[in-house]
Amino acid sequence: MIVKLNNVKKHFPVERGFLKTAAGVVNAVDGVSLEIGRNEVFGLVGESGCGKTTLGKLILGILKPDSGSIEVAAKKVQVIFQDPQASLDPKMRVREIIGEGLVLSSPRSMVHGPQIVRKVEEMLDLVKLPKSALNKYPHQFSGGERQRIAIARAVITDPEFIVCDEPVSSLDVTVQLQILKLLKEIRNRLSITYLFISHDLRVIKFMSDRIAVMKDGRIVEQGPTQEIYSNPTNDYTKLLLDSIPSIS
Amino acid sequence: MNILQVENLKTFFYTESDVVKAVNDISFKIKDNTVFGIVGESGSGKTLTALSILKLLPYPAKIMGGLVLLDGSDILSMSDDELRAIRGSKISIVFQEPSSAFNPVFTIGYQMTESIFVHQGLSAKKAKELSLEYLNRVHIPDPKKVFDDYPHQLSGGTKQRAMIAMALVNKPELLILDEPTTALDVTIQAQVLDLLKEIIEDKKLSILFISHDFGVISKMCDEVAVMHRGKIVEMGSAHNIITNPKEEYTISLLESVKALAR
Repeated sequence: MIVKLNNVKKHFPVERGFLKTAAGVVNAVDGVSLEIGRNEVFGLVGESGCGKTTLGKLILGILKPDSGSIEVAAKKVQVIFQDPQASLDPKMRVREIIGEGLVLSSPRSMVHGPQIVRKVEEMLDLVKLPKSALNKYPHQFSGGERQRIAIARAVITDPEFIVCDEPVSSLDVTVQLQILKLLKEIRNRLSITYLFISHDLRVIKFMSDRIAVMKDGRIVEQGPTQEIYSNPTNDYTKLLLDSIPSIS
Repeated sequence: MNILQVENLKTFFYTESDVVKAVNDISFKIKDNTVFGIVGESGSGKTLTALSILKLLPYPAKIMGGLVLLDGSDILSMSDDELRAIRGSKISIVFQEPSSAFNPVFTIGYQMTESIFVHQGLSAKKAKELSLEYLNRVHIPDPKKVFDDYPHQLSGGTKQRAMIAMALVNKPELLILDEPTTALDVTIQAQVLDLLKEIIEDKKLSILFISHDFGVISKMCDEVAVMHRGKIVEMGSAHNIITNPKEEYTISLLESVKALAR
């Protein structure tokens, strides 16, 4: 196991008015237990507000749980967000964006200028961007290319585990497919474990070995992808699957 | 008969250094009481086509040529007053994002009745009755409450239902739906698509349905045009395009969708 959650809860207070008096709580994550195996793609699917992003942040340590335990047995953990436009610094060149990950995640004596450039070039190669990208800024790229940069920035730190939070949701469908294929390829090549968060059942199915369906802060069903898609037992899972607009 | 006829429409953006041919010489027809779909990826020109039909173009976009005939009359040569008279009555539109399409400082009821006053000139009482009737028709559970609600008090799905009610209340002949379910969760999307299907089956109006999602398009449309880089690359019955696409771009688009659906 690389990630193990036991009865994790996270509540957010709802405040009202100028004095911020407590008006209630939102149970964003309400007693979630799950295990993610090494080299697995674990899909987390649910609609907006179900708590999937909060769960991702808890696993990343960005948020602390109110109760329950979270164990992450990975030396390095990374994240890829939905919107590369927002997650890439517009004032930094691609070489700096990707290289910074390496600099910050390695001991100071380990990285030198030429070494960083070599590693960054290697990463560009991995995500299939030309070397000419090195000195460009994020705005000079398309959405798909920008997401490739975000992937390179995450992978350069040599992570064992990556949380992919809706990584293709802002992309067109043909570009989506390219990025998903790239993520799969990287996983196979570098044996990285993914927690893959998405609202899109088609994308989740394409990517995941096992999935968990989340609703109102709880996991209503989890298991191997094929099993859940061909034989869902929970009513909400069935409703979700029936709602996919397929080509008829 | 054709409710809408678009011929050689050209809409360009003029920037300081460049001309972007966002809609580049497209022609199509929408038959009475049918659903015509435009499918394409972002930047293909599908929304700009819809806005050109309404002559609602943002600066610096300009219509550089072509003909848009609504029920035989030329929209592009109409004056602002003439346009105002048909927008929201003869032809209406539902946008992707209902929270930005509604005015946040007025109630749903105020905004619905306002458009009824302008186009039908009914009394306040009659306009309210009509609004409630249409809110009921789009299956909003508590129309009286929603009538007095402000947009932010409604969920995304209910807001879009209210938007559809508002688009229908003046009995348009052509309804343009521009990605009407893209901002909604998948279960809510399914409900709103069911509602639209119901409206379509009523057969009282024609629809231009714009979407990036081939799945949604195949579910809703009789005829489909595939747009790519400002041009219509392929057009025909929805069934033919999906089962037997001819153009390379259509094939690749369908393949991406199918690869994900497998």
